[in-house]
This record gives sequence, C-alpha cells and structure tokens, in this order.
Amino acid sequence: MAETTESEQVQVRFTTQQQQYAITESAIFVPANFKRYGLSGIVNHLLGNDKPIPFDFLINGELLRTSLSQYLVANNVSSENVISIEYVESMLPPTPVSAFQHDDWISSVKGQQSSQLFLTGSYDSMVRLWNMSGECVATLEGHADAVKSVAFGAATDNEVVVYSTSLDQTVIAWEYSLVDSSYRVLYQCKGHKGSVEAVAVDQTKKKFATASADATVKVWGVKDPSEEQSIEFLDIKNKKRRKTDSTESHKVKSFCQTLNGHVGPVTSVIFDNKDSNIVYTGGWDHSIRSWDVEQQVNVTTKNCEKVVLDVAQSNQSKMVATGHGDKIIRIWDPRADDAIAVSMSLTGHTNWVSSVSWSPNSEYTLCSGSYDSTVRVWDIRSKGSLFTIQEEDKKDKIYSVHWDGDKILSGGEDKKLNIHQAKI
Amino acid sequence: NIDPDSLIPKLPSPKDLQPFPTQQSISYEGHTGRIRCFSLDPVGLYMISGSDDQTVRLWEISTGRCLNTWTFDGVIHSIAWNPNRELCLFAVSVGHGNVTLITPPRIGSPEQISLTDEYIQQGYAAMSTAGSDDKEARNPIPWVKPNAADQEKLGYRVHLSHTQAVKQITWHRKGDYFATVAPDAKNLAVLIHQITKYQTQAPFRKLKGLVQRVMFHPTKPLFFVATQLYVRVYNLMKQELIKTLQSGVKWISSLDVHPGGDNVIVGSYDKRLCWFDLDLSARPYKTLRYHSQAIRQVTFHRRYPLFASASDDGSIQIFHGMVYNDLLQNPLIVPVKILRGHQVVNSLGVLDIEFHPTQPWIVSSGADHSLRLWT
Ligand SMILES: [Mg+2]
Repeated sequence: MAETTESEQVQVRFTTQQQQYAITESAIFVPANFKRYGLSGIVNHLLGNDKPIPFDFLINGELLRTSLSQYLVANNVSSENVISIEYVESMLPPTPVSAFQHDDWISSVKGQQSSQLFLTGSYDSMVRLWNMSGECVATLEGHADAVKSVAFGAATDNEVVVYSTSLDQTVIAWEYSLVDSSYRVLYQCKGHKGSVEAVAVDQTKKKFATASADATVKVWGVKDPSEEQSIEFLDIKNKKRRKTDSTESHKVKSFCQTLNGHVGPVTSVIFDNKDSNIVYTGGWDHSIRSWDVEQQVNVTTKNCEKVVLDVAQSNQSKMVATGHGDKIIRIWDPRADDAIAVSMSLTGHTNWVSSVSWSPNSEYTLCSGSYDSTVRVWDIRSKGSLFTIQEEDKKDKIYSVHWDGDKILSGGEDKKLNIHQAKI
Repeated sequence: NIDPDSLIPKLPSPKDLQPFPTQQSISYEGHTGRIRCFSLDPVGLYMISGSDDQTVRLWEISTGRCLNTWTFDGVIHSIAWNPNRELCLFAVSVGHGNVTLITPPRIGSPEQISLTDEYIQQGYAAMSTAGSDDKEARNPIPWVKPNAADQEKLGYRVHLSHTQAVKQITWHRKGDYFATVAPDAKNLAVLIHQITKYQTQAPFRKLKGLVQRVMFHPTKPLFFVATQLYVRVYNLMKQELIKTLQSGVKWISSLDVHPGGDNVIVGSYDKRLCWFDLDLSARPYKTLRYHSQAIRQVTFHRRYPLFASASDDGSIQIFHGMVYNDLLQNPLIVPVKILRGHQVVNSLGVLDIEFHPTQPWIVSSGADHSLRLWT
C-alpha cells in the first residue's frame, strides 16, 4: 500500500446517530494527516457552529486516536476507497465539583438521583448520608466494625432504605426519614461467618445480595423478619454515647438463600439488571460466576486466573465489567456460554482496579477506581482510557467508584467523597 | 569451535512460567521500627507483623488497613499464625523469652472463637487434672494464664516464659503443637509445646551446635533442625536421627520444607541458597548464589511451584521451583524475578518473606520499617 504523505487527501463520508448534528452524507476530501481535532473542526464548520462542539470519530466501531493516515496504515485500509466515519459528541473531561470530608477511610460510595442523596461507608464503622450541598444529614451508628459496602434500597417521598455490610460479619438495613432526618435500624442480618464485603439491591428493591470473605453469597428478602420467621432480638451495644439507652434491641434476620461454590473470599455481587433471579459474583478464586437464586445453583463459571475485586453490569448493554488485581479491567458477555468469554481488556491502571461502574447513559462508557490513586473513564471503543482523574502528588488508594447520573463519585484512603461532573 | 552456550541446557523463559509476583501493590503503613517477622492467616485475608518498635499489628491484606495494634515491652522476634483454619490464634515472641498466644479480636467468626476457647480450656483442664505441682515439675517452662482484663481486651490466651529470647516460632500443620527456638537456651534451645495438654517438652537432651531454625515435616512425624552447618532430620515418634544434610555453607540463616516434604531449601548468611532433594543426596542438589549480601529468609509457596529468598542486599529473588512426581526427574529451578524496593538500613535489608497461601503473591518486611505486598 502506498504511504500517505502530509499533503495527501482521503475521501470520507461522515455519519452520525445524533440527528441534531446531522450533516451531508456525500463523500468529501479531507487531509490524511488530520486527527480528531481537525475532523471536529470540519464537522463544526459544516454545521455552521459559532461555538464549536467537540466530536469524537469512529471508524469500524473504534475511536480514532491517531491521524487518519496512521489509522489506515495500522489497519491496512486502502486510502483509495471512501472511508465511512461516524461522529459522536465528545464527553467533556470530568471536572471536580466537591469533596466531602470524612473522619476515616471510605470503603464504599453510592448516589441515588431520585432522593438526591449520597451514601458512604467508612472504616470508622459509620454509614453516612449526604445531601447535594455537602451536608452530612445522617450518621448511621450501629456497626461494631468497619463498614465495607453500602447500597440504596427502596425510596419513597418520605423514606429511604439503606443497606450496609461490615467487617463485623453483619448486614444492617436502615430506614432514613426525609421528613425529619431521623433514622432507625429495620433489622440486622446474621449468618455470614466472615467480613461482609459487598451488598447489591435488585431492580425491584425486593431483595438484596451480600458477598462475604466466608466464601458464600447470601440473598435476603427485604421483608421484616417477623414476616419470615420467628424473631430473635439482639442487643447492639453502641460504642458512641447515646442520649437514650446504651443498648437497643434489634430484629435479626437470618432467613436467606445461600449460594455456595466460590473457593475463598467473595469480593463482589450484583443482580442482573433485568432478571432478579440471576446474580453475578467475583472473588479471590479468580472466577466470575452467575447463579440462579431460586435454585441456589451456580449456573456459569468464567475464569481469568486473576483475583476479581469488583463486578458491574451496564444497564444499557448488559455487558459485565470486572476489576482485577492484575491492573486490568475485563469486559464480559454474561450470556455467553463460553468459559473464557472476555470480550475486551482495558489496560492503563498501574495498580489493582478495586472498583468499576458503568455510565448509566452510555453503553460504551465506564469508570474505574484503582490503588494507583486514579479514577479513569473508559470508552470501550478505544484502547486507552479517555480521562484520568488524579489529584497532584496523591498516593491514596481508591476503594470505590459510582457513576451516578452525571456525576462520578469516588472514595478511598484520602477520607473524602470526591464528586466529579461527568456528562455524556 | 563449539559455542560453549550451546552446551548449556536451555531453561524455559520466565514469561512461560507465570504467574509469579512482579510488582509492589500495597504498602502497610504504621510500624516505626525494623519489622523482623510477620505471618499470614491460613485463608490469606489478614496478616500480623512484629517490629522492633515493640508493637504487633494486624492488617487486612487486600486494603492495607491496620485493624489492631498490640504494644509490648520488648522487640518482637517471631510471630506465627496457627495453621488450623477452624481456629483463630497466633503465637508471638517478645523480648527476653516471653511467648504469648493471642486470639485477635474483630476477625474470627463466633465458631472459630468458641473452638479456640475450647482448645485453650482443654489445656487448662488437662493441667489441673494432672495436678499442677506435678505438671509444673514436668514442664521445663511455665504456662501462665493471662489476667481476665488482658484476655478480654487484648485477646491474650496463654503466656509461656522461656529462659532466653525466642527467635523462631513454628506450628505443626494441625495447629496443636508448636516449636520454639531460643538459640542461647542450651538444652532448652528447642522446645515443643502442645496447647491442648499445656505441655512443653525438650525433645533433645543434648544439641550439637547453635540451633538456627526448626520445622515440622508437612506430612510425616519428622522434625528438621538447622544448626549453623547442618540440617538434621529426626523422627519424633522413634526419637531417632534419620538424616544429616551437609549444607556446605558457613552459617545457615533460614530453612523451609517443600509442601511435598521431600525437598528442602536453606539460606545462609554467606549469601548462598541450597536446595536439597532428600531422595537424592545429603548434599545440595543445587547451590545458588544470586544475592550480594546475607540471605535472611527462604520460603516455598504452598500451591504454586515458586520459592523465594530475601537478603540484606535489599532484594527478593523469586524462583520457579518445580518438583515432579516422577522420582527420576530432577527438580526444575529457574530464577524468574528480582523484586527491589526495600531500602538497606545499617547493612540490613529484607528480613522476612512469606508467600500468600492461595495467590501467586509474596509479602516482605524490612529493616526500612516497611511491609509490602508484591503481586
Ligand atoms: Mg513469617
């Protein structure tokens, strides 16, 4: 193939699925040495935009990160033919919005758009709720040890249910009142024999699943324990002084479905976005498993020979992303029967990837948190990360990320809930 | 003209021998003195470390979090987690001969805690039925019950007062027996303790040479004793010497037995690592000299075909070490990685290493006050 020179032109046809940005579909000549910015200039010119909109360009479903000529050479494409280029509005770099200071390391962060709240779990054994203006509206005291994972449950106009898991081997369901900012423990779940590392709530908000260092996964109904079984009462001794009694009795839930199969600690659990009878889990035994909850059976097991630290599913594409101890993010099709069904590996982090979370608005975009102290944003159509968020000279590990609407939340060793604007 | 290189058998390339640890992933921050020892729990979730800063710390391995700190009144020489997964217990050697058994708070399940308590109670019961006078007369060192406050608050279960500083603690795989080495304690240099009986025995009436390390055989009732020059293998049941391994080094520092039981590695202060194949010979099958300073610790991985050595040169050498079931096939030894990062402080480098029980990872501690996970 002839090498393209600086002055050379190639014939391209621009297409877009974003109808508001549609331009002529006839082929035009553009300089072969143009990269993303040059092409973006052409499209903006054709749109007659005074204020340019940044665009990204895809050839054969892959984001263009080089010049056109470099792409053609690398992919062995003839410059004689018309090249079809799809363009999409670029994601803007995430910008810091705010940071909410905690007393100790943050293990888990979550946001809930509908109730306009953020939720964090901390090593100081507290669960905290924050409003959008950065006020800590509630500090939920009840765990006897570090909180490892938090999740939002059902929300009404008046109440929000919250679940938290802890190194103390229990799970607590809480109810927070939006009316008077009070909270109460609904019940405490007992049964795990090790630190409870993760919690996830299904789409219907009728059940939740927990993953533990004891190698089991448990699925619990959200009902009050009295509706499921004879109630036991447990005294939770509050470490911090309370104006009322120093001990309180709480209902204990022990009825659950147990999923046995992992060999070693389970680090992560999620429900399938569509089917609440399916959960996906990952653990130290290097496996990513799917389970039938009703049958309590392990349906599929995929192995990758690396420790799995987190699992997340896209609500747009149903693809599953996993974070690993070998610095890699793997993308899987959970429906594929194939035991080795890694569709893609995303590389760029320089240490363990502790947390992954998909954009709720794009099937291609996800974010990740790592022990390398960065949060990265990825488009799975591109090999490297789109953006890297890192505070200067920061070495603190990140334990948790959550892409909540147009915000990326992250938390870790720096004791701050960091919030970035990340609009797609 | 024959190229001399062509006569050397080709070793496999390291990249074909993966997995093995390649980079530092987590640093465990907190100690302010040399970290001479640490030990991982049998599941590999937690670890305990002992330092010259006179503290013992409990860590969550996957996050780097310090979960607990115990403060003592002496340097911590050795620490060892009980290998029985149903228990939650470790032994630590402090200062001039105190060995304490501790159930760490926060991490055990209620089942583990109660079983551990039962185990310990069994010992107290055994002691009282034997008649305490009689028992104390038979035990060469006293077993002391900690006061209630220390039991409750710190998890102390038993104190054993040795006559000299205990430099090594090592458990039998079942977790009932453990051996201690106090090199300066003459005929009490090596003691074997049994928790469920509250009993201490001195298995060797007379010991030749200064004992450096001891170890239980992973499957048989054999016991390895390393002095400066030799490793002697004893049958504990028959109370007889089985074999004497001639290391050829000047001063043995460290010892480990392959999980299969038929291969032994020995590290030395004169920079050498000897691999013995017990079926082959009483002399080393291979002597490796890769370190530029004294070797402080050698260790096998329990699951992967890996072993490692740690040195005062500040590095950790990772080797592929494959033992074959076929008796005619010699072990395959290939150096695969050098891990650097520890600072050398006053000529001391890496003081202890241990592989993760389930992952191809290694933990190291050093004179630079650091404790690191390499994955
Ligand atoms: Mg050790």
